[in-house]
Amino acid sequence: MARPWERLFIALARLCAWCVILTPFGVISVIVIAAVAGQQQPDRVVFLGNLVVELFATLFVAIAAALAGASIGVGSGLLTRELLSARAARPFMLACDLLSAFPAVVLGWFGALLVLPALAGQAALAVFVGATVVVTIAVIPRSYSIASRLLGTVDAEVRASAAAAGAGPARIAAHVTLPAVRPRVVGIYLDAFSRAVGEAAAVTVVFLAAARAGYPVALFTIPSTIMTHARTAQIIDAGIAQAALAVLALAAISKTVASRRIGDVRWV
Amino acid sequence: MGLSAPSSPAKSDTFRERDSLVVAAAYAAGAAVAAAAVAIGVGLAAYGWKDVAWVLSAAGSQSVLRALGMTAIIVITALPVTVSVALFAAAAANDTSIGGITGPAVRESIQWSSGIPPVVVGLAVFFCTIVVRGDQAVVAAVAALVLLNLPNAAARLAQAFGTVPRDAREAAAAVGASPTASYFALVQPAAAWAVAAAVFSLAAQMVGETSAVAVAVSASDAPEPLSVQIWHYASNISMAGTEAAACIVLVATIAMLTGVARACARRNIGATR
Repeated sequence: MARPWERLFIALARLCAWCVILTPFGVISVIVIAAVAGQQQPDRVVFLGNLVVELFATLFVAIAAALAGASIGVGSGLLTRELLSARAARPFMLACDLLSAFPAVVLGWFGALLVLPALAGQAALAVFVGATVVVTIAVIPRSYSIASRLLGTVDAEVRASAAAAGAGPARIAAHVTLPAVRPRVVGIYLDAFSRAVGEAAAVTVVFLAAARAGYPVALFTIPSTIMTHARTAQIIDAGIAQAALAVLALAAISKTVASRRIGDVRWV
Repeated sequence: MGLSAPSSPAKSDTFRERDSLVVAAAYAAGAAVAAAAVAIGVGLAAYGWKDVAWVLSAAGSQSVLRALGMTAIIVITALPVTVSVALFAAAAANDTSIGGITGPAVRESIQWSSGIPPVVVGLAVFFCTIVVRGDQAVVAAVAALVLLNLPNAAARLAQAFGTVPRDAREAAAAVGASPTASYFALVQPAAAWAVAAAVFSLAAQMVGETSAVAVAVSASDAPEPLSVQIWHYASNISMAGTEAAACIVLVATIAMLTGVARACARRNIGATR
């Protein structure tokens, strides 16, 4: 029979566990209620048209950034863990650590001040390329971190066997380590997509800077629309809530599939 | 007639092409990371270095010190709430004797809930603020940070507890220690450094969080935390210098917290080795 304080601890642990389980449902419930019963209901046809276009813009930025960011993250992981000695890898690891210390808003500042002017021509596409660049940089550190840990899960004996058979670091990386983790690497891309699809702060700074600089910005991504909406309209807009649900669904589904693909290393 | 060794034409190394491709791609990726880090670092230093002292001492609506104070108040309030709930939840997730069915449920839940975009969490808090007609920026920001980071914190802490070797826990159970006694006497002390690392990296994440907090505090006119203040003015190129200086202060704060987290993680590796 457990002592009273032990029973109290177990009860508290289970209560807090339920809090962690139910909190996301609370967030979703608020958004769903706002989407159904918001003060301002959008015109359906106009709203759906806008949503499809914004969704397309969001997916364009997220997919391009996830592909580029995850590839760079995996490549850097391969470089620092497999191809270089610990000493030679240190500058690259330091660069990844440095990137992870830059919050999204700093990346947005960088995109607005340095990336946007570097893109030639005041075309709408340049704005989206600028937004994609900052989201790519935002995605890299996490992809690198997961890739490094994934590569670390490959048994040292496997590498030792390949080395004993005469394979050098490049051959071991290309023909032993990468194939061993390939099914789980897909999860890194999905994880990067789930991070990229919800990125708002950096993208908004780029879009607003582009609008100030005279770029033809007629279209925002959904997360950046949500951010600017909250600043300008102090009402519960059902359209914004519905758009948020679309982003939420995309991010949560891709995150779930990514977690299942990557496996336990995600907890590390 | 004797046996003759099979003669085979010299085979070309068909693997070499792929080796070269992988190596080239890995170096290109490394170069891209280094270039990005250097470009942002140099950009911040070039634009903002001279203004750091000025933004730290300036008064008014763009005072970095005041915004940093606001950030500190929000994080110091949100962090203990998040960590205490997550600590208990992690204990439940880590040991089914403590958590029962909630253990696997927490793990399953974290798989998708940590993917909820911060801006959506901020929007939920913003809607609630409008409904209750609240204008407490600190309460809204703290709520957004707690809601956003609970799954993440529970995952990090469960992982921290997971660094304690299973053998040690089984040995404790074998000598008759209850799961609770084992948690307090073995798991918590052994994972102390890993827990500290998780808490500091959570604090760094909270300091840098922008979108959830910016949306959540939209209904209020109160002073903004530093990340939100930077977001507010960063698109204005004419203020590039002062915003870069504010960014340097923000990045330095995050880097310091991340550095402490890494030091704690290293000590944990040393302790569990």
